[in-house]
Amino acid sequence: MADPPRDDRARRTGVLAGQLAALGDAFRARLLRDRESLAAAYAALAAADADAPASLKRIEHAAHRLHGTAAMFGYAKLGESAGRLERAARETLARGTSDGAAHSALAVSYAGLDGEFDAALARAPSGPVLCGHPDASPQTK
Amino acid sequence: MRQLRSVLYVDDEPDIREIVALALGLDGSLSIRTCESGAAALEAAMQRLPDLVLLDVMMPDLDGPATLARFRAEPTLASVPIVFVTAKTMPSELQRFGALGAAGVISKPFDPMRLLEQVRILWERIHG
Repeated sequence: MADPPRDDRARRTGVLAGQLAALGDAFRARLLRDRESLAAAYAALAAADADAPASLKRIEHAAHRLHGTAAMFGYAKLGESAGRLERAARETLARGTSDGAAHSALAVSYAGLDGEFDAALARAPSGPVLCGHPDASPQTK
Repeated sequence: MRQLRSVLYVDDEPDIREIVALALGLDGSLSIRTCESGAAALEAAMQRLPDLVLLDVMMPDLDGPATLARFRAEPTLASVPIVFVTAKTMPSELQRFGALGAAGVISKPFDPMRLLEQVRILWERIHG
């Protein structure tokens, strides 16, 4: 692996920062859609017990995606909340949808994540805020 | 020391695959391929052997440890060093990854501006 000349490295670093900023903007722009998608799955879960496993899988999948990516874009708390919802959905799937405790944990996790969406969407776009951001903390993907 | 020329990154999250490709692309001489699953990684590695595999741990179907086991079971892939990229960095988890045969661990979330340096350090450690 060759070391590029210093000027070239600086240019590449600048290009990378710009590309990461664009990715971060795209991520933030998707947050509203992600929230709506989760809300739809959660509403479907409440409305139709027959399709509960499918709704739970949708919730788990959407939460997993957020959990894995949010901290990379500086939304660590959103990622942590998504991780909690992901685990709660998995737990509810494992225990069965009639398990009251699992459902309660799911409801608490969902409410927590919904609150974090508010906070994340209210925050000004922050460019390529990845690690080292005040909001960043270790995740548990 | 053998030069690192090619990396295969495996992660089910498209955003992170893109970040890794961009971050490692800071080294213009490095060939970077990305895959969305363990199964796709095995296929890609069979087609062209990478020098190093960076592997997400939590993926649907074939997760990171299962993918590593498949690499180790395939004679042509068995010696490819595999580094886990994960937030599972508790001491017990790191110990487990080492026991599975991982060559190292990169913590998530990582700093894209420093990822290339981290990979270089790991490569030197593997071949040092």
